[in-house]
Amino acid sequence: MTSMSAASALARPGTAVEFASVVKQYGEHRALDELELNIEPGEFVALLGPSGCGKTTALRALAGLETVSSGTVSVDGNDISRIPVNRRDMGMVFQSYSLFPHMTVTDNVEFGLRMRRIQVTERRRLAAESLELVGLGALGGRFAHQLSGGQQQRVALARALVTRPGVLLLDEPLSALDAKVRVQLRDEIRRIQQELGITTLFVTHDQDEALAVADRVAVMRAGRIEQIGTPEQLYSQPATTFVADFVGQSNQLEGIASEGVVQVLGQRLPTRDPAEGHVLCFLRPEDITVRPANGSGLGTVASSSFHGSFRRTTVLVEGRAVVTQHPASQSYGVGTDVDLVVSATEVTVSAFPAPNAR
Amino acid sequence: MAALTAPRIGGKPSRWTTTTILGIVGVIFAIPLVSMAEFTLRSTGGGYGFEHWLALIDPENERRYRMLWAGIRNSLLLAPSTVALMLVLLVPTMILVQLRFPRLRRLLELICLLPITVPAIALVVGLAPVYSVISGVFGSSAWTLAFAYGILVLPFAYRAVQSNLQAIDLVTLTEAARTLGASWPTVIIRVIVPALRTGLLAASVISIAVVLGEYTLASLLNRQNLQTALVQVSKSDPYTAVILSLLSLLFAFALLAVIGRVGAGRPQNRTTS
Repeated sequence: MTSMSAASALARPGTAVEFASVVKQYGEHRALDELELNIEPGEFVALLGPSGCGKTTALRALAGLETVSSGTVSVDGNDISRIPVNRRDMGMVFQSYSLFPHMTVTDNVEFGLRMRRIQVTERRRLAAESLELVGLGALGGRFAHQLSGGQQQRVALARALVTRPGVLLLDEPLSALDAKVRVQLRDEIRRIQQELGITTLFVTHDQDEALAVADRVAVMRAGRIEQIGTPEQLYSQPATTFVADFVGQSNQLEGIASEGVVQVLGQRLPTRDPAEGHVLCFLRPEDITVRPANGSGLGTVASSSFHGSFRRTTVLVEGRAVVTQHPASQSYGVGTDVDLVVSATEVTVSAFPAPNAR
Repeated sequence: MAALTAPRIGGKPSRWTTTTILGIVGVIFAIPLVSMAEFTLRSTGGGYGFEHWLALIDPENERRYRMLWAGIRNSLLLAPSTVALMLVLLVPTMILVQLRFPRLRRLLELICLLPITVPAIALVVGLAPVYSVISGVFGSSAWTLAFAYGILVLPFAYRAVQSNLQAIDLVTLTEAARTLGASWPTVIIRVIVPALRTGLLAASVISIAVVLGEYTLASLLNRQNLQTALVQVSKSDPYTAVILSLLSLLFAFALLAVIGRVGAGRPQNRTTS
């Protein structure tokens, strides 16, 4: 109840964000290489990539904490590249704990309102609503050192949202937290984002996080976006081998391709890739089914691990490990001869040896 | 036998050992202080009394102690001047290095710690020609010694501020304040200075203690301060010199106690989640 009323006070129509040919050069190194990205009003976009891919630089360029070497960053069609950080109307949550240590939680949350010269009664009201929104209404009098890491990041989120910014920027806000708190706060961030309808850019190197919360995920590599799409698109139709390899777990298996069909693990499967001849195929563990061997079998079970609702079984096929996933109710002992059936409707392949293989 | 060789739980020294060590240390520190106090209470005609203490504030002795009071005045002027110099020059430099030029940190540390390795006498030899210029510009009033003292307190002030800087993530705090709409002056006044409060206070207090105890520079540069005056007075009136030494020692202890209390305040940040 309380969070709904808080949401109505803090909500405002989302703003659109556009990166157009944005370049950021650090000496010889190009952190952003003609970056193009459009974020719709109210959309939650995650920037995903390995460290050094430019995702944080992109976020900081939008915040105004980095200047861009060329290109434009626009919000609602207005170029903001020359506007200083403190006038950009962004709310940001940082990776490291960033609460002002000498202020109480309430003072921290009110800071942005103070800067906008909001009068005290309004300030108190908005700060209380914002803290309510993140579920910390009762802790306003505490100092940062009296809070857990998860609570500190919630306060940081309340502080970022209290000014009703046009865009919410999240710079790996969960990476310093325990696994359990991380998942909780992740889901909460998504709930709050949807309640407020705020345009959000979320930087992470954790694919689970990105896939779980974002409307669209942009996989970055070497200062560019390799692929952008819904989590489902990225997972099931990776545009490049880099994406296939980075998002989710993949088996990389040798195959032979010709005319839209690839032969792998003794099966013929469709592929959209134009590559011909010797290729590398990317197969998800859940697309490979294990069957009891009919005769001598395709491979031998090397190991099997329990993951709660499913099992991962590694099968050795001609010396290569193939990871498969199946319901926990099935179980194959180590050394058992098994057959493998690939159920993927389409296989992502790359010329062999894969130039992008990491 | 078995009881003697059994491992002690927790690995802490026993209460008895702790008390003995602290007791010995306490006695060693107390002996000179108690001796000084005892000395000042000796009456000229034998026995004990407060006559030497009272003589100090007797208006009749004003002429005799004029130089002493001048020395105290100068030291009390020098202490805040040195602190001001340190706060105005060192602290902004350290903040700037931390935020913008992290690569210069080692160099700044080296420069700031250097004075501790230079003997005071060598410092004076170097400072003498500098002070002939300073006297030309600012005159030779007592506070100009603060320039030299500014160098002297660098190592202490630097360490005090640096340990505070290391305990907080100044870059992130600054960026957070900036994204929330704060201008640079606001960031400094509302975020950086309050976050460094402990370090700044410790640096100031320790600077005051250094200035009040300084003798060599003042003496060799021909200035009067508390310590030079004490030496002068002690030649003719050992009681007064000891009384004031005792008082300045107690004052320094009080200052250090303040640092201790401030330093033992709440931790800056917790990293658990």
